[in-house]
Amino acid sequence: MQNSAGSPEEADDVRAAVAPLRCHGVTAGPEALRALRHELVGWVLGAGLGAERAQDIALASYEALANVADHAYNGECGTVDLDAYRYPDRVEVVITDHGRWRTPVLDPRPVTLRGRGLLLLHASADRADIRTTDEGTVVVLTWDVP
Amino acid sequence: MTSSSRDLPPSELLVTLEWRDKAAVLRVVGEIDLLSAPEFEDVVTGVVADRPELLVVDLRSVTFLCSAGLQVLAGAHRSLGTSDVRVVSDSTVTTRPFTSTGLDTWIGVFPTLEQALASPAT
Repeated sequence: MQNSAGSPEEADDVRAAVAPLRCHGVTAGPEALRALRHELVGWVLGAGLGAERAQDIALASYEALANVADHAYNGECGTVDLDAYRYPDRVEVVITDHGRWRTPVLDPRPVTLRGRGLLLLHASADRADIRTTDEGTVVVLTWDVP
Repeated sequence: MTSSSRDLPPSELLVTLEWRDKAAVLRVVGEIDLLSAPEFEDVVTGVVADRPELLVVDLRSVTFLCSAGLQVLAGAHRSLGTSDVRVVSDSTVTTRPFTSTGLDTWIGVFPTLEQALASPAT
């Protein structure tokens, strides 16, 4: 913990003080998802993480949210839930929808137009777990915080 | 080197176009996400229709870039065929989406506008 910003005691205080972020029933549309991203970044910075970590968290979470907007409800605007938790050793973002993600269509051309969202999601998170059930999809994104 | 500019339609993003000889330089300010990507695409498509020999998109004032933005630039690269599409980026927020998806193989990422304009054709 010696490499954390500030003294270890201060860092512990910050962690204890950070309440989870809970945004449920958010419309999976462009305006609301931008506002949700801004709210998440504010929460991440308030949780004592640096700007670069905040960028990673914003991007991976947004790609998961964008997938919901794009795929889950077949053109209809559904809703999505986002929960973010600050644990002593990690940050976890959980994104839940009640629709179905389309299986990405493989594009054989060298510069494909689609399908980069999941690549970015995986590249920006330390761990990404995507589970689809009949009820919907749950994405759990985790970042280790040394 | 000649230089000219014209106003582009109002956009969620602030985008300005400048021609440097046969190279089109688009400077983008703002966030490229699902909300602004359609307008970004309109602007890029309009520039691509003028068949620049080189399209440079300056992303140094872009504070967020997601796959929807990459898709627009991949589309421009495909439409322009043999012409180059290059971007200017000096921060991880705009560089990493290219490197982590491998799109930088096709669209060169340069730290300055001068380097993007001066680099030999690929």
